[in-house]
Amino acid sequence: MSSAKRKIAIEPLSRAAWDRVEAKLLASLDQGEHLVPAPVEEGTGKRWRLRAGVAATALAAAAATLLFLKRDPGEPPRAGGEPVVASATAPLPEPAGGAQAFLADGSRIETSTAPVQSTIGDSMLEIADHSSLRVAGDDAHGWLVSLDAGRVECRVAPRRGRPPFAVQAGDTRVTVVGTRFSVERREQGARVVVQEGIVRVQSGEQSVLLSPGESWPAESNVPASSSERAPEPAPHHARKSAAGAHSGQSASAEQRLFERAARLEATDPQAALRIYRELDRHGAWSANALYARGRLGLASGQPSGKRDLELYLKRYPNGPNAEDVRALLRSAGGQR
Amino acid sequence: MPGESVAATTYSSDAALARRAASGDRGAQQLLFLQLKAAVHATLYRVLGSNTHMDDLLQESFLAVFRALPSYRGEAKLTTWADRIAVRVAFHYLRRSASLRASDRLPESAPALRLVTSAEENAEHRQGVARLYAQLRRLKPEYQIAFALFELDGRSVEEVAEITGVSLVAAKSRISRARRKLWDAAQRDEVLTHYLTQEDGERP
Repeated sequence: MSSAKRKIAIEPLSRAAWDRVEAKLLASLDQGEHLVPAPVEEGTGKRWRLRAGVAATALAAAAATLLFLKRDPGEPPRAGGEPVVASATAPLPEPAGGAQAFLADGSRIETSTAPVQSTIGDSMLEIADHSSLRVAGDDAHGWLVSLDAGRVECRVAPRRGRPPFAVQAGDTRVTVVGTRFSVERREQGARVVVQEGIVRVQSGEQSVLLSPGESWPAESNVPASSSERAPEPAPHHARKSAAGAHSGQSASAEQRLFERAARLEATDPQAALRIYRELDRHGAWSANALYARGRLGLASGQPSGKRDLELYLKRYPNGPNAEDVRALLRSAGGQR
Repeated sequence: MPGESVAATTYSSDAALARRAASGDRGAQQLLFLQLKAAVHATLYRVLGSNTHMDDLLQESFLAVFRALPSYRGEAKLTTWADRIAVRVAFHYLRRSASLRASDRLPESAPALRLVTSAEENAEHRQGVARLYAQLRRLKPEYQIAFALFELDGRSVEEVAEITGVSLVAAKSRISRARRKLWDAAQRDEVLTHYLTQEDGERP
């Protein structure tokens, strides 16, 4: 058999197919998927297998807090010193009564009965009591925080053009687009609440952008473990509007419709957009619906998303979501 | 990196591009994709025999490439390095799909044709290639890949060994076993026999 003789010609892919592949790949890179450890069968998992605890410097612990930074016995310590069990006390501005640790690639941190504040690059983590997480990456390539148990609140600088910052909790991945959010580990996945900015949550086939006040998952039957983690499916700002418009009443048809659209965002964004379009024409939910339509349109890569957000600012320059809209438009403008 | 051996970085421009892409430079990421896409596609295509599921496989391959970029130091040409990753993706795809495949199903779309002189030859060639891949699918993924890289992608045995990460002897052995099994199958398949004898002129 002569190899040269048999060499088979390649059936080219269409330009549309290549465009699809490239767009999907770049979107994956934006979401930091390349920072997530590959399945072992792909062969790259080994490199990403998190090496338990290295090189973190822990300062201070509150009286009831024990902070453990573990290290794999086979792993040499990195620059920055041996891991320590924190026992000293040092005053820190926030969180009140918490400890502080500077985490590096390979660090593992477990909290006991009090929260701990940690730094990764220029990002701040507030790790709740009884939580456990691991850190991989660096400032040049991005950071991956794997939350094994408990809850972590992250304050992350906007990623515009910078390497990604992602939190993996079970099969749920949260990738930072903007600034402040919390992730709570559940059995297989997580509960995510956004305080500021925008994050992308990906769980299985579902992917959704969350804005301030929004939480994931949106199902109303998910029990919240604190008052901050409101279980309602509608966005927080929408709930506030609803409270004004429908005070003391059961949810209106418009509210139910809005909540239905919010639930559909991850699985059927087109249907969600259709509902928002209906709602933004009139009624108490029109501002929220227009905002949601623009946000979802932008997240889905539709040019109408930007137009809808601009329309929102024109109609409601001081509306409850005006700042979010401006942030989204700035973010959209900076991406390309 | 201070401790890194300069001599080890043979392909310095490839390494520089990889570093920029790994650091999140969007221009470098796009350039890297442009530089590698034809090679990665060709490798996947010749191993698998069609563009079925190619979008997903390319996506999977490139994501694996970007995951592994921080480890690339320019010791090998970037396309060769990426080929190894694409072959791993193809290997796992073959292994995953083996249990789902009907034993004698032909590939969903036959590979493209080489230049042939008549419609009849064209049809014969297409059918022969389809039978060849159908028989290949019955082999272990590692045999399929070694054979496809050597016979259908025109690689040398040394390249096959390097890409698949095995010794020269193992690569030769896999190619040889795949050939023998194909010729055995050809005894029961006239179309394949005709195709192989026409292409080879002789039995291995």
